Amino acid sequence: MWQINHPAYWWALLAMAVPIVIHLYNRRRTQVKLMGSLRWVEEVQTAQWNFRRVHLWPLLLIRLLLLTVVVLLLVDLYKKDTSGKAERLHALLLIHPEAGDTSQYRQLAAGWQNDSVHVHWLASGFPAATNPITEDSKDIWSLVAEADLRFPADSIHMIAPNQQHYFKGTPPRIRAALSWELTDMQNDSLQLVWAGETNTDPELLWFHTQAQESVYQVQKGLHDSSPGQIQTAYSADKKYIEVKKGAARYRVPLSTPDTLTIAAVVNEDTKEEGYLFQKAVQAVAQYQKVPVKFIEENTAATDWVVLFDTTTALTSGLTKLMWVYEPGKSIDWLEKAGKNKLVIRKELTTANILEGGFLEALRPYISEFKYKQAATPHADFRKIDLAGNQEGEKEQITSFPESVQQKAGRERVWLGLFLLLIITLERLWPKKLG
Amino acid sequence: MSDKKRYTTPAQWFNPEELQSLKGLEWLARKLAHETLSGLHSGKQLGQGTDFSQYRSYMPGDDLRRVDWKLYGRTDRLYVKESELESRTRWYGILDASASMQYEESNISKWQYAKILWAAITYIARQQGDTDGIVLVNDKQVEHLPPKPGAEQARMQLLYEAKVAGVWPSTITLPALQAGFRNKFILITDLYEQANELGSFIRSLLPAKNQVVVFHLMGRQEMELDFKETTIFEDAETGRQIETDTAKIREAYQTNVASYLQQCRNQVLGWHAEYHLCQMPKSPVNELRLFLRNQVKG
Repeated sequence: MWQINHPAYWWALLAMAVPIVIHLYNRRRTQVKLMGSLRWVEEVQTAQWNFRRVHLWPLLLIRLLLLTVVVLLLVDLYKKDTSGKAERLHALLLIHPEAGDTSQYRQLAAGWQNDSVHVHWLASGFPAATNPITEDSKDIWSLVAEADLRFPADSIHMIAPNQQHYFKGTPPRIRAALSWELTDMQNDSLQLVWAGETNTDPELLWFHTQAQESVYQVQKGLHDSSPGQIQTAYSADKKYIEVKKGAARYRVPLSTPDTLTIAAVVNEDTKEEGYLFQKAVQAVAQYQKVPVKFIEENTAATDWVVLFDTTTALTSGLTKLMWVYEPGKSIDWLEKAGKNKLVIRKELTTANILEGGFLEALRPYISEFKYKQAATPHADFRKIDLAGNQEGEKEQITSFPESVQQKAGRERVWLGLFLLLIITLERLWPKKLG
Repeated sequence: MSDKKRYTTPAQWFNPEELQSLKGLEWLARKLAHETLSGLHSGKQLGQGTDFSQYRSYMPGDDLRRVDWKLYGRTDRLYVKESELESRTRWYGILDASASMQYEESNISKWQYAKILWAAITYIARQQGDTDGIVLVNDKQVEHLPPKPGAEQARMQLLYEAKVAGVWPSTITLPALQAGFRNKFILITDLYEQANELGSFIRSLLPAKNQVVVFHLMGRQEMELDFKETTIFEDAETGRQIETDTAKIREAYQTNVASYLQQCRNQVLGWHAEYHLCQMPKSPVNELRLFLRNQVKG
């Protein structure tokens, strides 16, 4: 299937009207003069190059074809692979022998190979191993640079232990998208799974957290080539996650949560309790800066269903969490009755809400709702978890401009050669009639 | 209508409309002849000879003093006296009727120019009592009307109706010329030949005390290549075409043409023939006057 990058240049085809108009005009203008003899004209006639000889229709056709080819080059016509497979890409995996359990990466690589990605391994003990890394080897960054020079990699994935001495020197500037992963994470509240550099903006780091299943974009400050322990914490205003890596600190802006939609089902007897629940949620959500909306019926957009009338049959629909009001004698406010079911065990009164700890009990659930919203992951990276399983929806590595550009470049070369041929034909066209 | 009104510019000495009829051709010829003769010194005007030779029919425009009124009284017909000396001169107009004579400038072709020129010459010849014949030459046919008194109208009709075609033939056989007459061969041509056939023909006319006069017709634009920059030239005889940028070749072209004309002149004069270059579309009156002066001298 043919694709074009710059469709606006199709308007340049209007320029084809110019040689046509000149052709028609010169056909009218060029006179034929009957002479008694052509001997003197023939004596002095020399090979002439006349750009105005456009009254010849074959020459007109050649020049129109020439303009067409120029326009095709401008619109950047190329053929797109419609086989459904991704572009033939090269991924480079550098796995340090001490990286620990690397089975997940084997699965990762197998997945890539299924997607027609060439995977190059650089570690001992793995298939097609070349240039194994040893302690006497050059520093990791130099190896990365060498690998980038040796292989036509579109992305380089490096898995190495979280030890400083393996990361000597500064990360080189390389063509490919570099992702690096730390193992042996310790004491991280967010349990970072992987982090990497984007190839579009080297000032950004992406962090994927296990607990929150989110990907955060981090604005780099000082880049520290020695990844030590990473510590994270929420900022005071809860708008950021602060990441400390060695001497560097990064602020991860948290994405704005969606509106928490709650469907409360009440009856005449429980109307007051429903109202109090609503006020409690609003108070906590306001503090955590989570928008809340209450609706009367359960819909597909409902996040929580709160049943104050247990006799009411639930409407079908998706719910993330169901609250059921069944006050009784209980020490705890909430009891988990199922994967997504909570039972409110104490009586909802104004005093209980304000002083009885219901707000504190409510807080983690609103936080959970807030931090479950994931930012849009960057398309250059694949998400993996510690089990080595890829997400259900694979992210196709599509932004490898070099490969696409190489392909488009080959087609441009052919068009360029064709253009050269037409120009040559136009110059060599016979100069005399008959 | 006065002559001044008829000719809008000095170069426009003819009206294209006048060439559309026989009378128009006669009118143009007479006008040109009168204009030619009016420029000559009166003492050298050609007139009738001293010895009466014969009568011929009166033609409109003839000098009334030459009309034999006594004969008119007897016959009620107008006749003009011809002198013996002059009536022994026969003027042969040999017109090049090849396709190259189709070349045209300012609405007049070389062929039309040749017709007017020869018609004027015949008018002058008859004025002085000479006879004229006509030969129209191309490779398709050679049409010939010999000098014969009383057949002037037929010759004029032939001249008017003749068309150009083909090329100058490689050989021509003219009818046997009568002895006892001086023959003046007036060749009106553009001198375009393939293999010196015109030159051979001219040389063949020269012996036996014949006088040969060559009127070489060339157009001004033809000599100067004064055409639009991009022009397609077509050979009138072969149909071959050449497209050229005239601005780029003009200088070299003019040099070659000038050299050629000089060569033609030298060649014709070298054969002891008379040479006149008529540059179209100018009137040939000056060349005619020079020609007539040479006749008086000769």
